[in-house]
Amino acid sequence: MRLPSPEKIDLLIELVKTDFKLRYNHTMLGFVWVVLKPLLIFSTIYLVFSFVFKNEPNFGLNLLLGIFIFGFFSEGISRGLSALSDKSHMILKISFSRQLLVLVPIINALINFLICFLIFLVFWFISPVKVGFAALAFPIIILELAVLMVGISFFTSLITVRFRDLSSIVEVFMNMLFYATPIMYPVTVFPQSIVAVLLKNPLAVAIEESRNVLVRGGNFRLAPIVYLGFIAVFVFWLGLRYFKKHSSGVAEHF
Amino acid sequence: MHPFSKIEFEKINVLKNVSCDIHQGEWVGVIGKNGCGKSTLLKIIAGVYTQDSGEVSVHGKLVPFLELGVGFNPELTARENICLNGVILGMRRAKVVSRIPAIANYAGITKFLDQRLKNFSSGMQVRLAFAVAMQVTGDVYLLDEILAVGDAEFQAKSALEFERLKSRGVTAIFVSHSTDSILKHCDRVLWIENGLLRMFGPANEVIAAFVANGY
Repeated sequence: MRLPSPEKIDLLIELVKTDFKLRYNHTMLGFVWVVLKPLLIFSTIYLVFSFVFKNEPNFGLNLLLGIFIFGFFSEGISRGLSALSDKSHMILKISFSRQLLVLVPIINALINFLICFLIFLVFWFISPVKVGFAALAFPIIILELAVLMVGISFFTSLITVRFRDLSSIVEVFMNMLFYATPIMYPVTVFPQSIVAVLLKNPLAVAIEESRNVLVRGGNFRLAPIVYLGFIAVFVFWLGLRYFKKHSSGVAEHF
Repeated sequence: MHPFSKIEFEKINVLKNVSCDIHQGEWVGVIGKNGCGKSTLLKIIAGVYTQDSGEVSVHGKLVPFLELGVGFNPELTARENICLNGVILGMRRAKVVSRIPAIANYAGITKFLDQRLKNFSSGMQVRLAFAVAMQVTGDVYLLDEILAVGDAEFQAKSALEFERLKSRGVTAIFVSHSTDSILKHCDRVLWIENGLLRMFGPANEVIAAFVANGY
């Protein structure tokens, strides 16, 4: 995937645009749903848990950020999984870079996340938070998460062609992940031994570190960025190798 | 539907042994009964399928037309579909956009450019797909029964386009059930039977043998 040709870039842009247009086609609110859905989830959880965690500083902001980041991850993974099987009608008729197809839903998830982040910024501006230059770590975290998502999707998009059950398994797994990741509870609820395990989860690291630099005004910490980056690049590399080896046989298994 | 059913695959060797050389500027027809492996052969050449053994060597830009209008989505407008299809066929977006008026004019759908494709008749869709396809400049064309659809006017228009392509010196592999089309456009013909090459030679000879066989 070095130096893609201009035609390939044109194709990627066109595929991303098409995917985006088709998603909210025929809906009245259109892409307002991109923000509305997570906001509604946020409201529900906030209403209940703000009583439980009334002593947590900035509980609302932390919750909102966590929900948006989780939404980004969840959307990217579930749409990345069906990236190839959804486009079987194209793959069967013409040869073009199948890797592009896996990239498209992740890019769209990223665009949706950026829209949500703008909404987050609105709440953020009206809150008494201090933030330092460590906030610049945030785009790096999101980028690392995106790379991880592409890597995972290289595997899932291919496996799902032969083994359709995978999408149900991933759906259940995402549900579990929502509870296993400190989103609607602060990580401090658990004793340190459990926290250590929870923070092995790269998504938890991404969310906690984002909260650290954006909401808690913490200092820049290299460790989580390196950890997330290492996992992201490793999974991406493994995924790309797997994809290159097995994607040529896809057409026969639709 | 049974839970825990084993996913079974039946391995079918569609193409067993087909080898040939095609020269620049040649138009080679491919004929055979349904299921003999014609489309599979084209899909392998196009890179859609990967062969178990053997090799494919193409010199020049390959333009596969296994189907017209790949990527066409009925929910998008004609204009959006032209962009998508053109870019899928390998053209730069700027080039496609600049050709939209010409494409719409050729297909006779200028008034409907901003209508969703689902509102088009199937004939209009085919004309549009063909109009976009003819904008692509390539060296080797794969044409898989794309003339099977379309009215008489479309058949005439496409025949004219093929003559234009020929005069440009393109090479083409042309799959069709219509022996008339094959005789009209092709120099040599490849006859595939049960995945094997049965005959490969001048068009009129092969067609004559094919017809004599009762097909």
